[in-house]
Amino acid sequence: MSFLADVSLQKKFVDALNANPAFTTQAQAFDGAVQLEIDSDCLWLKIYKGRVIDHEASPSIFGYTFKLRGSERAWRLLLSGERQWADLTYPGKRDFSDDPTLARVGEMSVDIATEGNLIEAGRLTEAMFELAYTLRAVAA
Amino acid sequence: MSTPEDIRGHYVKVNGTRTFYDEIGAGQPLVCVHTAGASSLEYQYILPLYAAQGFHAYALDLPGHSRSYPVNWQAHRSIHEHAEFVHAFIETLGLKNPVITGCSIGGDITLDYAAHHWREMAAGIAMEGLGRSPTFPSPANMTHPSSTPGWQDMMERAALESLGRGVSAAKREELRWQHRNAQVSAVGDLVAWAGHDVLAKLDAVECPVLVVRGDDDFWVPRELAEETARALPKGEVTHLPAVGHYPMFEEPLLIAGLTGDFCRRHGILAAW
Repeated sequence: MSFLADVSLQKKFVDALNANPAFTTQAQAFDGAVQLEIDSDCLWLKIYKGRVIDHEASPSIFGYTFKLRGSERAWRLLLSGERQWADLTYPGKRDFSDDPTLARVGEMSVDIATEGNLIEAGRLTEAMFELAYTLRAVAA
Repeated sequence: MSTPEDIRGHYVKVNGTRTFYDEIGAGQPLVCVHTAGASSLEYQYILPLYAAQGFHAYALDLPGHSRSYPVNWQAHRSIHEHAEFVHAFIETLGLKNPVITGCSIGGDITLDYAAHHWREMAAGIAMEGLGRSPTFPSPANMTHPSSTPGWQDMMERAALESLGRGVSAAKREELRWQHRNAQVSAVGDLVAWAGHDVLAKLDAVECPVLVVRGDDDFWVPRELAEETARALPKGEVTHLPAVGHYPMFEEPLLIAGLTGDFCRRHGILAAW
């Protein structure tokens, strides 16, 4: 199980999001659901007019608008501050510590992938930065 | 010692395109090129420091950025187009044997300029620039809200997040505003960044070139900066701890000194 499976952390995270004015402002024109996936763990967040009004620790029957999916290793790089949200979520290989011959230059891999409705994910860009750094603040 | 208020702004027609540039100082010409989606404002703190080092410094707004119109109302989509425009700017002003410096796409432009015009330049200082830079996918049509409604935030965050981690909140806010005058051209800039590759041409460059990279800049991998310097016969690379993607904005005193020292070491500036 990853850190995301911690029920008390889930509650703290949702409360912190709703107390973050930058998040609520940036998500005020959104009616949908964002699902976080860390390995096999999941947190479904129902967001309406800037507030998280429900959450579940498993996929909801209502589905998600878009999801953010990555390994626990990648998410922990966010929590530790070692990597930034843009670096983890914008495609492109930029860490060559595992590729000394530079054979993979130009590869467009990504550590935390955005999947689902990418138009809506695009609208929520700034909100997702706030979400990521709120998670870092409560889980680090 | 001059200040940012001593910088003088000018307009000039470059191949018929109205182009803005800042100017300060006297002596060895130094031409400064800004990053993607930004403007010469990124150089406001360092320009007086360049002047104090003995440079006659010029910082232009690339076409389609801030106060410069785009060429034929189209954003450039290759680093080479930008570099050739900078070459035309230098010819228009009649500058002889300038040092070229730039950051991010400006660093790539410095290297493209060197690859094609090294005989006409004294040296290059390529900050956060690479011989090849496919570290980000081509954003293609991201100017259109119908496909990418979050483009403005994506671009601004790409800039902010790559600042050195110790940069103040006030400077972060300032950098964000510096990226709010060229949202459309920024797409062309990043298409250009993604497709840039002059690595195979760098072995013919005979002028000295310094590659400068901040350790906090995740857009510019250390390995590719070193690859770039190795490809240049007179190439050097320096990695700056706690500096991000905007060294001249983050650490102007350090970068002005480093640029001056490099040019003095190569006989471009007179010794102190």
